[in-house]
Amino acid sequence: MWTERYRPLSIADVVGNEQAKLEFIIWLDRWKIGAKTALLHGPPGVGKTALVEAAARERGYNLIEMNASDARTEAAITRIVGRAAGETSLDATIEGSERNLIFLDEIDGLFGREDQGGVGAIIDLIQRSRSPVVLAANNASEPKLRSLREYCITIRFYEIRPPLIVALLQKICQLEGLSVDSDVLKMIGRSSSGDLRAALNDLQRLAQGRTVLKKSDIPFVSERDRNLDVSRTLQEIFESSDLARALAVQRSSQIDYETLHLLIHDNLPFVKRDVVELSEAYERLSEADVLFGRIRGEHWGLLGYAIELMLSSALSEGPRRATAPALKLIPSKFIRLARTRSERELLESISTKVGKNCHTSRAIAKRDILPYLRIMLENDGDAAEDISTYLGLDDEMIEYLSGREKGPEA
Amino acid sequence: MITISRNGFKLPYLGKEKFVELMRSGIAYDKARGLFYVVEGGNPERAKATLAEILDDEVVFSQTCLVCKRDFGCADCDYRISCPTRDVPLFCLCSSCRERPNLYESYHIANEAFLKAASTPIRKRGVQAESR
Amino acid sequence: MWVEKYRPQSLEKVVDQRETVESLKILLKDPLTMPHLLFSGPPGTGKTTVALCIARILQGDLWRDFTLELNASDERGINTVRERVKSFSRHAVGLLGNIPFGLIILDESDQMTAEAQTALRRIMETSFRTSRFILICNYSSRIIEPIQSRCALFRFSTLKTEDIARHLQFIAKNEGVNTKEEAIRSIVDFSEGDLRRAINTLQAATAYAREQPLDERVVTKVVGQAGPKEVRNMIQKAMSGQFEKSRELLYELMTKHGLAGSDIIRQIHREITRMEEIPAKEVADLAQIVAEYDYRLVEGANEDIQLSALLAQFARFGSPHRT
Repeated sequence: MWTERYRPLSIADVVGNEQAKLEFIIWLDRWKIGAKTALLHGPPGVGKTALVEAAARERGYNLIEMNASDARTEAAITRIVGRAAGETSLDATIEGSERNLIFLDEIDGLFGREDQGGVGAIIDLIQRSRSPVVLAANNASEPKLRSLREYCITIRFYEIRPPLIVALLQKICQLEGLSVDSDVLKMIGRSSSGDLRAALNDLQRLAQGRTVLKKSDIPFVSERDRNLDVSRTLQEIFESSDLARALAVQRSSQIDYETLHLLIHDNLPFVKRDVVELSEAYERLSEADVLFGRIRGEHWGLLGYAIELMLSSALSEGPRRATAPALKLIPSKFIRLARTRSERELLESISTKVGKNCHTSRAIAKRDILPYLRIMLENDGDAAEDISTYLGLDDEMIEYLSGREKGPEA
Repeated sequence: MITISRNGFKLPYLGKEKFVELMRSGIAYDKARGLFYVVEGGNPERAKATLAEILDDEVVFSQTCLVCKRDFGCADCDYRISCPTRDVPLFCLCSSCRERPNLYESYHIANEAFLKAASTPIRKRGVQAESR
Repeated sequence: MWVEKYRPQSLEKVVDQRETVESLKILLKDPLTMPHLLFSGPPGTGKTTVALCIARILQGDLWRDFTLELNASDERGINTVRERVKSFSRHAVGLLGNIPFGLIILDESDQMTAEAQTALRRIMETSFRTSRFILICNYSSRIIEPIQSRCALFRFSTLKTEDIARHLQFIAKNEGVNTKEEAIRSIVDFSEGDLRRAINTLQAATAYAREQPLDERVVTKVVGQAGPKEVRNMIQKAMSGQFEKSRELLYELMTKHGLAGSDIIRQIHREITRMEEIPAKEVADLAQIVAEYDYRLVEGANEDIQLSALLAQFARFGSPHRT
């Protein structure tokens, strides 16, 4: 496995998070008994474990490492780690060194019945230990870790920047005698989400049994990465400057054009920061939408044209523009519909009831009567009681309309 | 959109509340130079949001290239859409350094220099550890 | 709800519409000769009220059993209407001798397509023996000719402001509400001749004011809350360049308030004519853009895309004004 073969041996070998590495070394070099523990936190695959291992190696510590994948009860921790916390070593493998570095990796795994008293045991360890203790977690703000925090300094790790990932991958390709298109490396870098380990695995998988890797050799990578495909497709379309390229990307993607249509709509304001550009893009997208509307069911001949129009709204306009947040990968429409379904249903049934009682349609009730009804229910408890009885509204409906919980007494 | 250099920038008058908020998000004030700067280990996302409120505009931080030490922005980067930490003040590789041959070696050397220059000397202990 | 509590139950008590009421009274003297009826006029002017009064006159206390109320927008299509009319005709009618026929009140009939109206005409014909239709609409011109020729047309005119005011004061007095005259005037202004809206506003304002006397300030507050404040806010955000916020507000209107695209675009159109910050010449330009998107909305596949695109045009439009 290349992640094994190329694991960092020294601290400078660890790619990325330069500041975090610095903070860690400073902490380690200054550590003395009674000092705080270091809690390294950040997303997976960005070098927390690699750094601890490299630092131990470089600075000559004996690393005692435990991971969430090991069964961890209080007893286990004490048993395995306890001997290093204060007693002289009895184990031959630790000969030649008094210096231990205790590393508890992935402590977010400290939940659930199997880890009885895990947090307590760690705190105990920290307080009693005569060696520096390092903790690593994906998410330091996890509430169960809160009691730990007063004993730690926290060091934050960020996702690795794509150009750094690419630089490392390039080097590894060289070492492996692999000739790779730079575009391929860029693609891997882009879709890695800052996870260096995942990027390296992706590269290895793609390079399996080859000495040359071209862009055309990349199939749709794997089912697990629907997001990868969506993310890659969107990025490439938004970064394309001509329609031909955008069309090629769209065709080779697994995303259906209707979803793509919604995704472009969702992401346009993040990609087109200039108001004139945005309005022009939207103008084209709206035209494409009209075509899609017409096509429904019949005029399939228009489909090609509609897709071209849709893609042309997303094209990049020459020189790079201002930055945008990460792209949305699931159409917001789906999310909105799912999330608000019960609210919508509630609204519909309220409107039906009101409509019936006021001799009008659901639509008119919703638009013209409900706004007033809300105010009535919100402000006058007594009247609200009468009105809701009259209209046949149940508690859930009253709550929803008045934006207020129904109290024990009206 | 305003680009802020992590190593020193000016701000209009803040008032105590905003000042404290800024401090909490990891921005400090250097009286000697009369400039604000980003403190390591702070919360850059929150700092960005607070600054955006204060300056009433979108705020992005510049990056520092570890190899050539230049400050540069994310706006022109090839990865501007996919980078998860865009606009956060970190070290990175600028577009010209990315084109270097032996990029990895340059990075490695710069990395070592950075670590050596900035860290304090190792405390001497009784036994000098040997690397295995 | 006061709209229902104070809804007139006899023709004499109906607000305004004297001519219409008098003509109807004559028609009702000989019920068996009564044709289908077509009521047209602006909203909140008494059409439904009069139809219900007629039901009472012709069918007495049990009118609810012999009258079917339908809304074109609630029914999923003309076939549903046909089914409901058929089953109504089967059950309700013929049970009591002194009731001449069943009544089918079909509201919003001008929202039916011409095709649906053609089918409706046939339904009206086949039901004539047992029932009469009272069609209600805002614009009689949207009703196809074959239907119009089979109906007696009654126009409902916009209510006079004094009459609305008087009715409101009557309700206020009955409900023991202390109102200032300026408040009543404010409500009347805002209601634009729609008595239902006026009464609802009065009731909401009363609830809002609680113990305080009901003055103009309260009315303004209530009108702002119930009214199109969100639409205006959305437009303002768009025009000041805050597109993403504006789009979020759009989504809120669509999900939380459950407004349909056509409702929203109609309100946008109304708001831009009312927003003082937009100069008159620009209103005309904007209105054209709105009209274009109104057209696209009908044919387009995704309402939220069309409306977002409209907001984007607003953003562009507003951008030179941004300081």
